[in-house]
Amino acid sequence: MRVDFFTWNEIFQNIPERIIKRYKYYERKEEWARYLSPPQTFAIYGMRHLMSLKFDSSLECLRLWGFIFNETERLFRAKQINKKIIAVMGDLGGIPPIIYSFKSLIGFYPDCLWWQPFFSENYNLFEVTGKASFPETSCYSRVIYATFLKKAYFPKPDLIIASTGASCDDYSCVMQKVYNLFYKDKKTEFIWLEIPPRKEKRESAIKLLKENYQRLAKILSEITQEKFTIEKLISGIKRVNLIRRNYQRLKELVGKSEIAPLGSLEMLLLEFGNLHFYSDILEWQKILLGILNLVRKRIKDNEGVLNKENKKIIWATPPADPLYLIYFEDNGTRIVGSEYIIHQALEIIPINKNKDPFTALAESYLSASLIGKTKERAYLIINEVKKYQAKGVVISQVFGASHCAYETEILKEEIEEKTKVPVLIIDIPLPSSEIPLQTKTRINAFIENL
Amino acid sequence: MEILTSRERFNLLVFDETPDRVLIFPLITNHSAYVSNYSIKDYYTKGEVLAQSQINAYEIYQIDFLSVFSEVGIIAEALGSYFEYPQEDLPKLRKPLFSNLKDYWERKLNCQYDEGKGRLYLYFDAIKILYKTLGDILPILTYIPAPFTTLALLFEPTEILKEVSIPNLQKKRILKEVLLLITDFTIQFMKSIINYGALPIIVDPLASGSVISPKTYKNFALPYEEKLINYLHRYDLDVILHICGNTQVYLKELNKSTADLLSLDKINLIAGKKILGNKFRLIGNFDTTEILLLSPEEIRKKVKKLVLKMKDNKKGYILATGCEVPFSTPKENLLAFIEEGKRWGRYKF
Repeated sequence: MRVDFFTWNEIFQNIPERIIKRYKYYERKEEWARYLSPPQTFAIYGMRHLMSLKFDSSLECLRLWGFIFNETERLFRAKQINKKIIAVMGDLGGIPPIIYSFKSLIGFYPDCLWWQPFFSENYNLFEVTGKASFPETSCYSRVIYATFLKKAYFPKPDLIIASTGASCDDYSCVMQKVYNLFYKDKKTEFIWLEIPPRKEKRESAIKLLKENYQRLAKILSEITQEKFTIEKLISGIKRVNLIRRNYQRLKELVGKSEIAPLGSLEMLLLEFGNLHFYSDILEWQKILLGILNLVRKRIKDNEGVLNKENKKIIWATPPADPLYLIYFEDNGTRIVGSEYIIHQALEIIPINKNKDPFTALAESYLSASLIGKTKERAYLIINEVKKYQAKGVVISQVFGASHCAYETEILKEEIEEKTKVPVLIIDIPLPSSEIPLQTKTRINAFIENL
Repeated sequence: MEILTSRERFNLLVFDETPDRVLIFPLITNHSAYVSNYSIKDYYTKGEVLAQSQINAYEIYQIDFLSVFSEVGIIAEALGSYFEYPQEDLPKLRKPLFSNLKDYWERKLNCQYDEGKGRLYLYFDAIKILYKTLGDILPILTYIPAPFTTLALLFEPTEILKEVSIPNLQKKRILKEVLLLITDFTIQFMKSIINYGALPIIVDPLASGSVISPKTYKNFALPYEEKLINYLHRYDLDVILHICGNTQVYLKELNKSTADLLSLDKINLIAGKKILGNKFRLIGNFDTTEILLLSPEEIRKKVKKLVLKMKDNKKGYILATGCEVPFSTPKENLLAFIEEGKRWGRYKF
């Protein structure tokens, strides 16, 4: 069942104390490691958008929400218990298997903080970024620069890894600004890794990625003073593959089911969990498995969270504002597939006895959404349409963001031609508590035509 | 311009991290009506006036917290005590619900919770406006009278204070029964507050050491404060307990509290830091008479001394007044307090 913010508070009253205290991150025993809190807790600490959203009413999903919103505190606690913090920027999925080959490392993506202004319905991060001369018409990911300046969203990283090459142009600007910020401060290591822009020259692309990964493993070994071995990397990859595999199963079950066993907002959060596991891979694995089991049970019991009649659609490019997903679902659609530009984080890394794991990592990374031609990304979306028999596609974009300007129209043309389903392109405006009326009208018209 | 919003600063504090500077929290309640030229009666009876007063106070003073508070009788009134609202004076308890314990025993207490009871709406209306207007950058603290304080305002105060000081077994049982009923009602009230986006701060002014003995505090105040704290901890909220007056006499009892932040009034806070500072983030405690009567220069000197002695408290420190800022405190006094607090409260960041 999907419930609103206020209903969750009523449900929370009935959750026994022992269950609330059961779930802790980093397998710690201290009280501060608790994370099973209702949306109210995070709303009180400023996440105002939560009051407008709808949530899955299961304990499994409460665990998901609590875990995700607890991440800032979790990162500070990680540093307090002497973990090393690695900030990974722009890579979107290739590096965490290497990071999680080391015991004392926690990897996280500052990139995901682009949701912060939307969840808090607040412009402050944009204002700070504006003062640093970022143009207003660029990707919302520009706020990440402000989070580095503020030092209030994550502790000072022990290493910052930034990607260059086939990375979003706007985010490249952010990374350069962050680099300038830390360049003066020689105490924080900052390294650039290169992403090959095209995959036609497969061998050279793999070689480039592999060299990058090997260099990174060496640096991480120095930072942790921990010996790096191939066995450790294989074990890190296996852990990551387990999560990716479970997510793939979940996505297929949800997409192919007659009913909607899970809402799109929870699915979006789960998909992004593949990036860095919200800074605690072991706990994330358990949360994901819990939800997978929940979905299996719901399918067996024929228990959906939306009307059965809702029309199936695919969503491309993650919406900065989660309210849009809820609005689509409330108005007769069901999101069965997605292409959230992190395809590289969803593919299984093909390790086997005869393959060097660095090569496997590089091969898997070549499936990245932003490497290669736009038509190849369109193909990923077309595949989703066919696989889940969707009736339409929504592409959300940020006005002025470089990759949107470049590729959205090409995606639309290609999808419409190959699938014959309608494609709606919407701009997600700056944070607000409501969707603009004009956009609602366009969305309603699109849904009517499905 | 400061780099952090108050929310970000407060979050760092509760994560056990050092923020850019000490948070500043003069307990500005009805003084906000004074600087906004609203009548006291309107402030105590109209949520939009309370909210607008707080917004004005924020604009003038650039404080780190908003305060939603009328007076400590709000729950007693919702339960049936009668308060009067003079146009230009504080609300007055005119007729408590019960005259004594016998009266309670004969009539009993209707504790059915309803958001429409008494003046509870005042808080809800104010919080909704404040949350929408400034809730993204400022924590909204809502003062919740603890059960002992409400108890004292449900009965003739002098009678009930006598009863709690030397209770026999039967009276003890009755008192605990009433306190439990009040606690349940208070928890429901907090649940509503939480729904609207504010952080409850528990206040127990009538459990002050100036009013009751340590033994009475231990028997009739602390256990019920703890029930409220436990409820808030279910949410993983950081609980602030504020006790007015002199708590010096029961500092050791206070050390047993499970609150996360302690706001104290008339104690030697610098000495208290040794007993409480490893466990609690401390809030306090500039003398409220001094903030009213001293010159800005004198205030500056005293704030500097307090901040420099307290800012290294192990679990963190918030510069505050010991209790509510007096209604007609001169603006320049409060501005001096805040400016000096910000100046000396800087941390290496």
